[in-house]
Amino acid sequence: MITYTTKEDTGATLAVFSSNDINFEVPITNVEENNIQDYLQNVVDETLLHIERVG
Amino acid sequence: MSDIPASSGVPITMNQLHTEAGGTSGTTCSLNDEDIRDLIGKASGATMSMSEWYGASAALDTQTVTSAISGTYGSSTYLQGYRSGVHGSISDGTCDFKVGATIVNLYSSHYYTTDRVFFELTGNYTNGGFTTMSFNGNDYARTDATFSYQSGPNKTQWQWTDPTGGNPFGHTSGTNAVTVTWT
Repeated sequence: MITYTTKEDTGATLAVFSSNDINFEVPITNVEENNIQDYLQNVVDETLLHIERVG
Repeated sequence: MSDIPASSGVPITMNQLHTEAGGTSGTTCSLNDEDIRDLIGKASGATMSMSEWYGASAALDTQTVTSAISGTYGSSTYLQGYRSGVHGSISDGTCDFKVGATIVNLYSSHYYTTDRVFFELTGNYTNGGFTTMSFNGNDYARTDATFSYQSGPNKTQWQWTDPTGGNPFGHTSGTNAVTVTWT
């Protein structure tokens, strides 16, 4: 479960949270409410995977 | 990059000023329009010299990235663009809208079916300062990006996943110089 707050930025809604010592702001304007947790977790997982592969 | 001539003696059209300011080509405009005045930071009705318009630009920063490829283009995994100390180069690499921050990486990644574009600064910066990053005919809106600050490598990152423009740096081998602008 990712605990997040939201902020508005020039018409976009961003989820603001921290995970694995990384501070994220993720656009969720077009993500359905029921899918937000899965979406954010996927962003975290993909980011960690990219760091592992590329740095 | 601005289409407005940089040196005096070359005619400047009102249409060049208008489109640089984000207006529609061929439509009515005036030198006192706010978006056009903003190109040279003038208040409404302020005195201005025609010479002040040379080199006017809406861009917050412009960089030339000499993109190189890490890996083999078309394979399952490869990277294009500039990664400090790894491949490609950038001039001058100083981010004007983040108080002299160093642009450490500006590249795209292809990993099987997923393409991403990354813009990274050394240090901890806020998610702001620009609206759009543009190069090679592609526009990357800041608010479409996943923004992060990674304390380990101490870098700030904007990441666009599956953006339009499948080959953002426009080359499949060797190198390619690309002008990148931020507005």
